[in-house]
Amino acid sequence: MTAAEPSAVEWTRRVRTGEWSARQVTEHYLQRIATLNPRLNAFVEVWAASAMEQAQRVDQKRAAGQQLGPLAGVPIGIKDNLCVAGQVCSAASRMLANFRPTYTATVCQRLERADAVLMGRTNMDEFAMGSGTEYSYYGPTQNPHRAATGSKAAGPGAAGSVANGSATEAGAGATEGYSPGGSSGGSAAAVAAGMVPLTLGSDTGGSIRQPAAFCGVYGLKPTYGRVSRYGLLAFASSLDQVGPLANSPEDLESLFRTIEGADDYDATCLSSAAVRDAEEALGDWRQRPLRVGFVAEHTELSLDPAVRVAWETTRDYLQSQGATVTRVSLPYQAQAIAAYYLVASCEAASNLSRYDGMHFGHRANLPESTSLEQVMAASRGEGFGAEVKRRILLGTFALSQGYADRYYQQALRLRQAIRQDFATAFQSVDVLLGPTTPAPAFAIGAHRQDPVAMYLTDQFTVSANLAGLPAISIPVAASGDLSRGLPVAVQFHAPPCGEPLLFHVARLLHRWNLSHLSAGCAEGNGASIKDSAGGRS
Amino acid sequence: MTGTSLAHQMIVGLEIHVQLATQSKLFCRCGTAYGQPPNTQTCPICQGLPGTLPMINQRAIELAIDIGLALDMELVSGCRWDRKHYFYPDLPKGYQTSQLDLPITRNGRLEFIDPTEPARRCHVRINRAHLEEDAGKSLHGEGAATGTCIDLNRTGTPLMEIVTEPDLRSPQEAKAFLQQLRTVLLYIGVSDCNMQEGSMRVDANVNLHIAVDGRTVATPIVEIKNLNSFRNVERALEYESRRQMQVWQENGQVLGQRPKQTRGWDADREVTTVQREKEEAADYRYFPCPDLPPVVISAEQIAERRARLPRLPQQWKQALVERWQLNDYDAGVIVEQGREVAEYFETVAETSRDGKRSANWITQEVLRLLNEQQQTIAQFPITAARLGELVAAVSSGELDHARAREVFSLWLERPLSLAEAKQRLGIAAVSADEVTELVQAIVGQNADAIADYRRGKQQALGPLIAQAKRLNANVSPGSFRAALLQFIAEQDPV
Repeated sequence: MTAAEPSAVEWTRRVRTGEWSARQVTEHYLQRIATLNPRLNAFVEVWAASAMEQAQRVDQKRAAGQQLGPLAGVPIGIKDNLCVAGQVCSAASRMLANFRPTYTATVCQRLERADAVLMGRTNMDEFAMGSGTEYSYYGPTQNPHRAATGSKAAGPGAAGSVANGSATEAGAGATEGYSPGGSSGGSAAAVAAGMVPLTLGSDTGGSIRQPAAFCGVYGLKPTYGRVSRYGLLAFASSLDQVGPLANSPEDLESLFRTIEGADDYDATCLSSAAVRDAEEALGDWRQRPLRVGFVAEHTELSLDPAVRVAWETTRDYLQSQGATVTRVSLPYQAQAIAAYYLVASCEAASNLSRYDGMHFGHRANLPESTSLEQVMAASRGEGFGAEVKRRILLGTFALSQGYADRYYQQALRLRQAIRQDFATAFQSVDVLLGPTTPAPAFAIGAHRQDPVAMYLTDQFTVSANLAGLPAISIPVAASGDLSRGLPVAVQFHAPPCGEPLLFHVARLLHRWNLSHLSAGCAEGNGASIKDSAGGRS
Repeated sequence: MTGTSLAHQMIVGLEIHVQLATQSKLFCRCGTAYGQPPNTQTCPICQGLPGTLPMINQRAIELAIDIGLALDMELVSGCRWDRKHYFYPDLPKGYQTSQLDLPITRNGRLEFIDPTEPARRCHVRINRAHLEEDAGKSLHGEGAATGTCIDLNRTGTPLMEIVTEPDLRSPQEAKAFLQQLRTVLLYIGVSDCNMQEGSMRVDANVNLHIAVDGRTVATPIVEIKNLNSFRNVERALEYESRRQMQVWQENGQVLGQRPKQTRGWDADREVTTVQREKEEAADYRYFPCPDLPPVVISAEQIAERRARLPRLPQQWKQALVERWQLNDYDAGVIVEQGREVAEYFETVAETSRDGKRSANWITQEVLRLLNEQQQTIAQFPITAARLGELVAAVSSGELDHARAREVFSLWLERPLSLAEAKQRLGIAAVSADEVTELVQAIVGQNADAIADYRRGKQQALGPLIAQAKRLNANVSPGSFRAALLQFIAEQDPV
């Protein structure tokens, strides 16, 4: 689909050699965004002016003979929960619609230092709570593989009807288009549609991997502590990780290498020494056949046939390439979703306390005489959407005196058990293979009446966050008939700091994707987008 | 307040918030200086800006360890941080980062002198001492604004909350304990303990155990918040004791029959007033802070802090008694003044090699002046080395006490050397010949007085010595008297 667009690695090469200037690359992508975004709503704001300035600085550096950074001239989309000084950072919430941070997130600083060009902020579920990029103040993002037809109302406030669960169109799925997944749906859709070569997302329970799977791109959730969270608007601090989305393993790795590394501003970041130790503990996997674990519990679940076939085909392919495949057991996998929603909601309730309309966030317009408590309550009531409120209420309840033991502490015990499950499994295998999601992308609005059904789409992704492990979603070409033309993906987990293993597997499968199943369906899917993009010429 | 008082025992436990003397805040690099213009010592982290994260100030950990060592506490490696949630405008994050289940130190004790019986020592068990961040300050109707303004300069300042067991039995004991605690904290340099600036704040939990018909009943516990002087602690407890007795006599309510009440001390009206009943209090929904790893304290770190820990007041006192032969009382007076005064004494004594005389000069002259001038020893114009020189001159007989006091007074005005001061005051050594001349001159003018002396009237010589002093202020009364007696003996017509 996006084969027409060069990779980030290729763009940097062209900028270095002078075949293209950074400004030309930026202009090219600004044009693509301008063409595609009205239909997809992947970007909620494009920083055209500052992007052109950054590109110009790259060109000047090159002209002056200075060394260029590893992502020189590459346009990048930033999820709307990462701070860049002076730019609005809203977490797609009315609450922060006017919040301009005075500082820049560590990951964005590292991108700037790498001479990348920050193009704008991408759409997401409000405060990263959601799996469809439907709960956004700016309205839903469309899946580039099956976007809604006709014009759609996007922009601030457009989400009102969705977020409040009062759909105005019955049986809307078909006309509303398909979801790109979430919460990093804007980032996944932007990369899939070739609006930018790279984007940053954040993953608390699958928010990078699930949209990557839905949109047919690569998405990595790094080991907890490998990437600084400083400047990421916190959802659930012990689960959140910033990570890359890209169209190829090489691009994914190059963005990961740029953003990772210890940071004094994040006390939960791993030190370089800790990373080295963990990498050594991975053993000599490069010298021997890859040992792939096939999770027994997953086979018992009801999976969409397209996902099951993709997963089994991948297993067989790896075996044909010399990998050993063994069944492993993760007995506590079934409880992961329950543990996750408790831990995440408790932390979210705490992290979102600061949005009370006093220092930060929307302030309700009330008469002077209103009490402090009423101002705070009204501001939070107006500023937060329904899903965010649901999670705050859940978390607040679970942390209340007399309940914390039964819920929060119990969830922590489960979390420990899940961590132990993985540790045991990784004694005999290098990576674990499983599905990223139970099914391909769903229609926008499909889960509107049933939040728990939406939560279940995260059932394979949350355990990596609970255990702090790195995990990757890799698109695999599936039978177009089975997946109804939608992308399908598999997921791999690795031990702590096992990112090199995940990139290795991704490269193996990328070659397979390109050579074998020759993307017949993928090109077909991409056609509608390319047509639209072509519309400009 | 009236009401007959039955035999009763007051039970008091204290919670003391102490601001740690770090240069920067607990979780960011902002300064902690007092009295700066509002919101000038803030950054995205202590402003609680979305997306920011705390980073630990290791210096605060070190000072917390020092407190643990000084109060004989158990140091908890792997201690955790917890978030305490409540909504208030001066709390930008919506929670305070504190320590609940695993405080950095616990189970300590502190000895102090029984205020009613100085020979006796009391001790108080310390339940725990934990680290936490301070909140900001609400400024009501101050400055240009009519409403309430928020100053976040104090937000994130490191505090140590020290919690005692209910081991105190009277307002006087509470005060004596607090004074001793303050002295200890000042000696180890962990806080300036300045109560006016809020770097030491006290909450008191108090109730009465009343003897009735051979059994004991306890009144409901009351917490008196935010006492900002030791005097207020004492007076609030005295008041609360009378109030609880009276209320109990009126309604007979005992512990458990009503929730814990929080009261404030109104220093103007000298009463405590209700702030809130605990049952209306917020549920703080404590939970472990996911942004901060547990604090690991290694055995090496503890050993290092122990080796660097300044001498405690008790150790100082013992040293003064043993090394400089001070009596217990003088040593106590010097040590109570704080480490700077004790160090001042030590330098004076080292220089003069005369501990007893050094102690007299400091307790009688220096401390009196500091008290009169409301100065600290650091502001005192005479350095310890110079005072030591002066004391040495007195000890060696070079100066008499009166002339030494003249030098001392002059030094308060001008920083001169001893030689310069002597010259300015006309203090010079008097030769034997000069003394002889003086004797001859005075004998010549006072034949009657000499005759009186010869007749056995010893006191007749007094005015002659005074006369000699007037003629030559430098002459030492002793040497003049000796020379005079010798002269008389030689002249004696036996």
